[in-house]
Amino acid sequence: MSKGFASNCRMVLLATGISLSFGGIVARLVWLHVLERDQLLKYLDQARRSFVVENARRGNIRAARGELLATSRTLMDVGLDPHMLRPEDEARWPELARLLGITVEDIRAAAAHRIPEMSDDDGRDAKPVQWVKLAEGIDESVYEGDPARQIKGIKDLKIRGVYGNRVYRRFYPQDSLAAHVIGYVNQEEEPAAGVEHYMDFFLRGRNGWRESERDGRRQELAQFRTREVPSVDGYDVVLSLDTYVQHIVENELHIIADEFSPAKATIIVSDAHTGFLLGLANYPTFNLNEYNKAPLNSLRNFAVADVFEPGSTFKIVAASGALNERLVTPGSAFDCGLTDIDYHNRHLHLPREDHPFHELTVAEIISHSSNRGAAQLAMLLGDQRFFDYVSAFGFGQKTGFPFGGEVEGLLEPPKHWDGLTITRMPMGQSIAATPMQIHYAMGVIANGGILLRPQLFREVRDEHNALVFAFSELPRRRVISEGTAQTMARLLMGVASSEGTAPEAAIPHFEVAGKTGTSQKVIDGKYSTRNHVASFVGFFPASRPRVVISVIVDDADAHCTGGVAYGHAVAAPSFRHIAEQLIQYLDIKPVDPIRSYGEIAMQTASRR
Amino acid sequence: MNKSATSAFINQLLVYTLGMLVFTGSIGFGTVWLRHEISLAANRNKTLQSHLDEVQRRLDEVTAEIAAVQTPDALIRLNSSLRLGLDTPRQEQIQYVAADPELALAAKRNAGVFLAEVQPVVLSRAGTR
Repeated sequence: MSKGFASNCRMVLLATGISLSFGGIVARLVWLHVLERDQLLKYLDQARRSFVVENARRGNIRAARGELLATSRTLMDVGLDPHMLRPEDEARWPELARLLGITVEDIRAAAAHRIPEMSDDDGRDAKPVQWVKLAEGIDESVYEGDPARQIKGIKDLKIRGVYGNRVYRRFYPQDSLAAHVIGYVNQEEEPAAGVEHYMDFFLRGRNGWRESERDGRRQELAQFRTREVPSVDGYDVVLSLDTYVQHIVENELHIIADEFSPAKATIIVSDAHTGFLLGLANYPTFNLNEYNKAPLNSLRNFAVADVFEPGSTFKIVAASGALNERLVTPGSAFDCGLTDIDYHNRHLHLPREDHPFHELTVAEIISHSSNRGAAQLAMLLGDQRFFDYVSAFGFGQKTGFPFGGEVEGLLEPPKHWDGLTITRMPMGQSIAATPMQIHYAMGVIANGGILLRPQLFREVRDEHNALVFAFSELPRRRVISEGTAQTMARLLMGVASSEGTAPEAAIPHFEVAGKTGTSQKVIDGKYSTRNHVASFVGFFPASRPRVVISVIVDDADAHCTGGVAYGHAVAAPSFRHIAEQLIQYLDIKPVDPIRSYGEIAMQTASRR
Repeated sequence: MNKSATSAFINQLLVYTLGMLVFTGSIGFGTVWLRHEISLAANRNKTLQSHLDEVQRRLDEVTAEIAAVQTPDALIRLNSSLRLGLDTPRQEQIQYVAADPELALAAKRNAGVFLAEVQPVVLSRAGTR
């Protein structure tokens, strides 16, 4: 039998060697995996563990037709590390300066900024500066270049030490369009106002994250991803605003601002049947992309946050109430030449008229805007019933506009009224309302007697454009009967006629119905004769209303003839400008000319 | 003690040990190769994902730029500066396509595929010439 190639001694030595080697490996493994385990794991965790947050993309805000009003995009903040710069790269600094829109001197100054300014005298904690910002908000295409179009970017200059950090910024492509509605997201990526804030739940999305490891160059080792939760992008919010209507409205505000230099102004346009807002703008306004440079005053949404005495536009309440209760007909006549009247065993002084009147029908009270006539209509209703109608029209309550710091306005119950309130409130004094309240009160007449809630949102859609939620009109309550609303619409046509207070608002064959308002402002506790709020609130065509438009201009007196900003002179022409453009854009067809009650009443009077 | 039996046993042990080392080594190398391939695939995926993200970012940038030049103000200015004399459009003339147009066009093109009338299959007798 063969003895084999190894002696016993050698075999034992070899076996011992192998055993010792294995024993050594086992001992080392026990050392690493059992005894030093916690410390090594801690070190590994610190050195290699990587927790990466994957930011969800914030949803877009779109207008009714799909135009982008707010979107998210990435921009670059470009800077340099002064210690990494090489002298041989200086020849490319002019090109870098050109791409960044700065001067070479700016780059030179940044490059010289190697040590931070000392906060304490000895500067013991001072560390060398590693990054000095050169420019922020640089387009990614400028930074990266575009190989397809052979456009070189900052990265292609290959300047050592110059690099950019990617930041996500909200971008508003339409700048100031609908600024008070859209709102903005601030530098801390927190939604601060408007739709951005109110619909943040839908817009925000859900950030994802992943646990992974990274190598010595701090690059992620994708194969060591242990857990991963994908991000979910935010939904798109579709508003009811139409960009073109909004443009018309804002353009008109510019014209008003140029012509009258008012303290502020508001225009609201809504769909007469559904209450969906088509346009809403205020003056002064601001650029959403530069919200931090805007004066604080321009950030206010006056349409809901400010109140004023509505003036004669409020006369629709007393007239609608009296007609709805069948206390009067359009032809009922009142003596508007009276200066005093007895009411509930009290002798009351009636308000002053701008023009002397004698006997006027209800139709004429509206078309001529008689203060005394409106007071007598409210007296027919009585304190409580008149107050009930005022409340039913939505005054003294929030309209439900979802943001912008809406206020309720001021409306006292009858028990707190003084003796003159029943004569003053019907003409729009002793009450304060927001432009939105007045607009939707007129909307009651336009849509057949129902008070609607302002509706701004159309839809919520996901990133694949699939419908998530659709919003519909929101009726609040019936205020007057459909018949009364139609009668009131006919009466209000008299205002925008040659016999009414605002022939400036008339558009032939389009049945403009509306009401002017010229309310005195209270300055130092007294009604001022030099400060007014001019308004025109109306809709058209009266027999089948399509849109309700409110134009309210505050303190435009200084640039008006006679020093008084009357509603017919300041607001009514703007109403007509807007209406004429909407006729073309919304394809509103003319109606056969029909005679208003004002015309009928005038004709009757001339026969007498 | 039988020396030759001991040597034979040790020889066998060595052969088995070597065999085991080769076997475990090949498993080890196989595992390393597999893990290398996994890491390559993972890194390729990461690169592709970051490329997709970059394309998405570019798309967002372009979309935003298009939106900025399509504002009513900008279009009216353009109409005036180019002396086009175009009238403002009516509401129903403007249609924005928010969904992916490729998918919409593909759906439109393929809509008829499944709706096409099925042609009856006519079988003729085989073997007749």
